[in-house]
Amino acid sequence: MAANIRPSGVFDTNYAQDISINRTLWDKFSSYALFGVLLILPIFLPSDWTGFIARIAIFAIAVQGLNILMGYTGQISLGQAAFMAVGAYSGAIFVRELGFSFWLALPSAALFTGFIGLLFGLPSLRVKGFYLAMATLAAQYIIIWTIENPLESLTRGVNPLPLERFPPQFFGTSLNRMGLYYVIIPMAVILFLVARNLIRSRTGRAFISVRDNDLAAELLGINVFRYKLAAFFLCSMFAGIAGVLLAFYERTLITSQYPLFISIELLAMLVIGGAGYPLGPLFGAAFIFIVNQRIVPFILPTISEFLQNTLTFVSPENIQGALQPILFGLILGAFLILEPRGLAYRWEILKISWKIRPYSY
Amino acid sequence: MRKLTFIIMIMVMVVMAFPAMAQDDDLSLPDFVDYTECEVDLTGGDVTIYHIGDLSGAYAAITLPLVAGLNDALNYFNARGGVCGATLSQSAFDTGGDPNRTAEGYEQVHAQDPDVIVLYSSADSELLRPTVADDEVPIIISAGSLPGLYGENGNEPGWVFATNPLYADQFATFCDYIGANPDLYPDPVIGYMGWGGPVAAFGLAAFTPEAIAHCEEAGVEVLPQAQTFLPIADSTSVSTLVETHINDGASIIYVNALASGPVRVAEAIELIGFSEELVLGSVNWGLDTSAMLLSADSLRASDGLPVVDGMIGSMPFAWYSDDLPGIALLLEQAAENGRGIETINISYILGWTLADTYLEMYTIAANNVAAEQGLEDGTAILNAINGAIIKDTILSMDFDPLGLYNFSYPGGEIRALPNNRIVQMVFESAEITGPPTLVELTEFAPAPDTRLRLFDDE
Repeated sequence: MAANIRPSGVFDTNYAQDISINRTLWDKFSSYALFGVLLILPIFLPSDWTGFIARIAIFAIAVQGLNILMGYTGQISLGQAAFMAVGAYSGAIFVRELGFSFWLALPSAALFTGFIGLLFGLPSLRVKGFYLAMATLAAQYIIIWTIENPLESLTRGVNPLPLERFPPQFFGTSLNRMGLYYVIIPMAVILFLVARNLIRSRTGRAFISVRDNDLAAELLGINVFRYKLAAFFLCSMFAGIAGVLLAFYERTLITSQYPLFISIELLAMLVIGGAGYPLGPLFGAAFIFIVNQRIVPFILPTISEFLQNTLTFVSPENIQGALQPILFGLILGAFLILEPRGLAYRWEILKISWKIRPYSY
Repeated sequence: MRKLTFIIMIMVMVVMAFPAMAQDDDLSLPDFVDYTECEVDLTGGDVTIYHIGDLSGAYAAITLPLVAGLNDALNYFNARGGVCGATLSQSAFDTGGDPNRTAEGYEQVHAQDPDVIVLYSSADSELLRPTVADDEVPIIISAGSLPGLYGENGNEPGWVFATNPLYADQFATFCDYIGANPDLYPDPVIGYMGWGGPVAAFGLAAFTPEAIAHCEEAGVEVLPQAQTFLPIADSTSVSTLVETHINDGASIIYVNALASGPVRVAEAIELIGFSEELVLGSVNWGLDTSAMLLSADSLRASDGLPVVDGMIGSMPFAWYSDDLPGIALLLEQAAENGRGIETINISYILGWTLADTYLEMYTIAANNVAAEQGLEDGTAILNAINGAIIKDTILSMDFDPLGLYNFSYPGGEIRALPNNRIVQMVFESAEITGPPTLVELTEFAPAPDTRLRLFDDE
């Protein structure tokens, strides 16, 4: 991997150095500094930025799950939003109906979602590619329908399920949004490290071999079906954790938060961020959020005003309403043309250029 | 040369003076509205109407006209001095109908320290209910839901205020009318239909056990299974759902959707040949001018009239069939601003009444703050106004925005304006040249409060 490139003059003398995540003191310092900055950011930033960063972290967790399934194992899922819904609703039900604490509900919901993911991963034994995509698409609809209809008495069906009475407790103190920020960020960091370490493990190498050529992997003695299911399990678990965190952060959940569009957006985050790179999900989630919620709204008034003066025959309100999705689509399209391998790939190039300076050739 | 320059200067001055001379001299507020007198001078200040909602998704058909109504109303009121001299403006956040963006929108708007926020969707108000209570920011919404206004248990009035009765209460008003007219509607059985999919929370908002129990008491049976369809569904696919209701014995179909919903259902009823047997009913949005527009170019009934002719439903405010000065004013302003009939719908007047409500609300709040805190400076007064003060102001108000409904929450414990009435949409002829007539079948009266049934056992 590109990440194994050492700075000029740094040589590995043992295996521990070879597999270390932070090879140099500078790497270690910058990692810890970044984590520290994330933790102290809420002190300096306006409140809306805290929520913005927290949501990026939550969605990055869900995309990291997808990265394990797609980026490392070469499978596909169009039902990731539904798995987030499973996590969110099961977590909420564990807390509301069974009296679990948030801290118990979180892993329980993650495990439950993992098992539901296993069920929908079963077709991966027989089908792949577009056919597997269709099978997971079924998950998207079946899960949401199940939450809205047969489970209505527990989930309130299509209506929002409030969690305002059940805030997570931490040593007797109810955690508000700011408190949850300090749960979400460390959780995202831990799960990123899990994902990163996973691909350096026996399981991770099996995932990659399945992705590269599942027939060859089978001939090498790898139980392909088992590892495909494991990937579905982990992918769903990550989605489940993201779902629980989102539900308790928003303090309300509703099935319309998890439509097919969100599954596709999660997929877009992975593609843009870079599938198969541990940092890809973070880059992808951050990129989509920043474009959609900061850049487009920022440039919208200027473009809207220009178009209103130019296209006088169109109602100004209609221009305003249509511009946001059009601009978002244009930026996304342009990005995919200019950097199809994802932001993480570009990041690796930059990192390598920096590390091997001054011998960048 | 000097003479020529002088003549040109005079001509330029005359040309410049003409538009000013041609302007409307009457720049006073409407005399048919009882405004509170300004006791402060807020000149140079700004009162922003922050609103968050779907401007580009499924609800765009009604939210864009609301923005248009607000635009026109703000220009109108600002030309007449705004709020005691302060300029009214608006700032919109488009969620695109994605609930995940609602909280993000709220946080962005909240960072600008708003005193009050406007939402469009009842689901959004449910999502934000705990947060706005924590932040003490009142929400004004057109039609809210029970959990959004009163919490999960229905007995905790919060910071969300609806300007229409709850959908369940509108449905109950409908049942009361049907039950009270057995000669017109013998043995009534209602089949409930509503929008489903991502907007099912709205579509099924009126289908509550309390509303159904109220209907049963009024002598109207409601079929136990509601049928939902997507906003994009065509009449052919909707007809299957209508047939299911017919097979179960429905004599009335009630549709909780925006105007395209009842139009699709009416077309479906016409397609399967049951227009003589079935009565069509709907909620306030369903009886909008858009219903007329949508049905104008589509299927017609056997008599040539649009399929929605004769539809009945609840209409909690005065609208286009009413000869009221408020309606006349906004129609005149709409014409002046070049608004087409597709814009001049229910939301357009709600945009106007919202601006009018803000005008009155901030005048009262500013007067009170100045008196209580001994402030004189306009900026200081506007800065002193906060969410808690606006909430108290809302609860104390008794105001008729443009004379179209009564903005008052008597007793302080209700969160939805109660007045409602039943109207019927009637078309004069097959040729559609303007809006249909809304024939008033009942007078304005408080809608039944079905929420109280939640506490019957207590």
